[in-house]
Amino acid sequence: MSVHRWRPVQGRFLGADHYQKALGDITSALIVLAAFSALIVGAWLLTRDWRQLFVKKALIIVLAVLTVLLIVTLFRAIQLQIFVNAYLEGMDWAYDAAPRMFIDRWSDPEEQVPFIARSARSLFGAVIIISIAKVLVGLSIVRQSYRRLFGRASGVLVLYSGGQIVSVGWEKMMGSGDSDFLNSLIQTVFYSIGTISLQVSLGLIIAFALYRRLRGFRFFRFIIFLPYVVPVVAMATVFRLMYGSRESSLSNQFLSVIGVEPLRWIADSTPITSYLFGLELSGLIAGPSLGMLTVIMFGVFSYTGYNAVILLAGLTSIPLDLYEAAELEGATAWQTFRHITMPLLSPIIFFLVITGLIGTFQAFTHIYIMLGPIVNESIHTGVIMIWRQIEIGKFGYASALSVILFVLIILLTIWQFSLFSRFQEFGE
Amino acid sequence: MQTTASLKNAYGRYVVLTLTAIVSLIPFVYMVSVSFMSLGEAINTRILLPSELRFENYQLAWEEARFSRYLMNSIIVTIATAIGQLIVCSLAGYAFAASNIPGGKFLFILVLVTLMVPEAVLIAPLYQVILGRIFPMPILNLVTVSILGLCLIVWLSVVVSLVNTRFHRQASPGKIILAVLLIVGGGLVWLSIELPEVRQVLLDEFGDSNWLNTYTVMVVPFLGNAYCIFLFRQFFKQLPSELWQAAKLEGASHFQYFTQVAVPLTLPAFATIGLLSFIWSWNSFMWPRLTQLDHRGHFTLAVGLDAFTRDQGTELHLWMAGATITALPVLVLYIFTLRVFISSASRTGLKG
Repeated sequence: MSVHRWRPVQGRFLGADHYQKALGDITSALIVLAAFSALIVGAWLLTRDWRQLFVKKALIIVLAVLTVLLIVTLFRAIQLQIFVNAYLEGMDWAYDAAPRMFIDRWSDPEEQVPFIARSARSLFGAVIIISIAKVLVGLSIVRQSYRRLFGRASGVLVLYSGGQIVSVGWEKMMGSGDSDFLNSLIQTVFYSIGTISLQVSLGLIIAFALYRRLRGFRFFRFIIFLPYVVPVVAMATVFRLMYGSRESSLSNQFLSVIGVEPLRWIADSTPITSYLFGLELSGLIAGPSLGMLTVIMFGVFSYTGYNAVILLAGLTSIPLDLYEAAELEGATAWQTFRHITMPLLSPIIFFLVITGLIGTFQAFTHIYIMLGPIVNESIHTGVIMIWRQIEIGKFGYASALSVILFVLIILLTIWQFSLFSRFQEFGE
Repeated sequence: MQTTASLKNAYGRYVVLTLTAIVSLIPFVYMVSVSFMSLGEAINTRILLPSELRFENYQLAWEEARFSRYLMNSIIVTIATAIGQLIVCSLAGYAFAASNIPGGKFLFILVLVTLMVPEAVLIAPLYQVILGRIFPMPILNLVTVSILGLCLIVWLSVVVSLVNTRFHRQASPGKIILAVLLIVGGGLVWLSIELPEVRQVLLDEFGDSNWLNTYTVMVVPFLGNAYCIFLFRQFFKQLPSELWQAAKLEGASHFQYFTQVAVPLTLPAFATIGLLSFIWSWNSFMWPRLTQLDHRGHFTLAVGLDAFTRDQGTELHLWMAGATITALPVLVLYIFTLRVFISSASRTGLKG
């Protein structure tokens, strides 16, 4: 037991280099992030009930956020304008700093300005409209219906400007950052949305089927909970065989029975839209690939049972006299579902969505196993990219990517809370 | 009213449930069925069931693919983790539940925050720690062993008091703990002098070199599990405060209250949480995969199955035999503890 040989390994201090490498230009990444929160705010503005008086407070907050965003963007625009001028005039310092300053290192310097200018312009519009709406609503000189109109209009505007900044800024980030990692974030979002929406809705159906005891309740619950229990590694290995690209894999045998050509499933990076509709899309609009769909199927297979059991617990905790009262009033099945079941179940759905979100952003094991030795970039999620960096010994870069992922998870959770708070109110 | 409604919908509900059950069971049936096939049958199209039950597949996987060794390792790691988590987290949970020191709440929130941190985020820094790049390895070993030793001493007295109440004895914990420590410590020293294998194992686990390729690395980092701490805190909080007041009047310390009152009253909670940590540990893959490098002495079943599928790219029937071996212990546990399993798993969740 001696420490004489021990030296702490000290790496070179790199500052924000790793983050710059991953995200491209950090300022534009921050702008995109802020614009993304503007999207959330826009959705929130749209869904608010504008007749209440708390609109004043809400609008002030939105206005403040947007103004800060506008100031940052304008500052960046001026900075970039000065820099581009210096670059075009051939100043030495501008050439040295070029790789750091340009949002997109390879495109023409003169094209660098429009993105920022455009985002500044749309933000400016949004701020103006919201200020007007704020003044009008705040002074209460407009009728309720107009108030609502103003609220909706500002929501739409914020959505539009946010969307524009996100789409342009994302392209710029892809151009200058680690496009593999950024692409993996998109894949993670696909996986998240696909898995969570399917597993919660299917879980709801199954929970309804199990609700109010029926013969064989225990047996069905046993079977339905089973996929959640078995080790992921074992089941993912089975799925790797079932959805293998061989002609003899179970899924392809099934396809041949119904007369469809065998597919390459997990190894396939073609977007499903091209299979379903014959479209030739690329990028974000194209949607998840067939390989990603297979991964989503695994996620749904192993988590639906869990969701169903939790939702069932929620269903059984709804007092029966509410339903009896509804029946006395002559409510239809849909009305009962819409006005009794859904509101009382919404806290549980919210819980499932949040935990699902955190879980899917951490998804690793089954994707890793199902991939095997195959390289299919369309199912590389965030954690898989981090793993690959660790495997080749780049711990610093892996840590930077991990921090980015962690910040994303936290932000998404906060956004979820703010979006769902409206539904939460019923659950009290 | 209810009966008519449920009768009317019963058929539809049965259809939904049967479909779900079939979809859920297909992978299991496929796994077991392929595991009994020959290689030819496994690769061939249009064969869904094996022509005969080939148990030699399992024998091959068991002996030549070393799944017996992997199972052994899994059991060692899992049981060590489960017991260790119970010991460490119950103490931490009790501390958070009982103490009202300033800042205790803040510390507890810090513990809860770790629940949101993805495992992947922790892996890069943790890897540096176990390589000895951040703390010197001997100090890490010393701290680990002494903290675990302290926890063990507390728990030995818990066991002694449990045995005392069960069999109406009046044994004094101090003497017994001293005796046990002496016997175990002396036994280990004697064994490591007499048997070179034991010495080698101890050197591997707690030598001056790093923790790669050891059992320790798969157990120690997970002992302070935030879920467990949280659950234990909840369980200890549920004890009526009059109990503690009464114990305090009798002059009991926190130590005596914990060992003689709190733990015996919350034993069912220990069963629940032990089950959960067993499953977590059995399913864990990423960390063992990273820390168990080339030599396969310490592979758990999950890592072993993955390595096997990577090496033997074509022997699909053996893959499935391995998968069945990996899944079977958990399935057996699930069947025998169904009710506890579902209630505790739905309270916390098994996977991330």
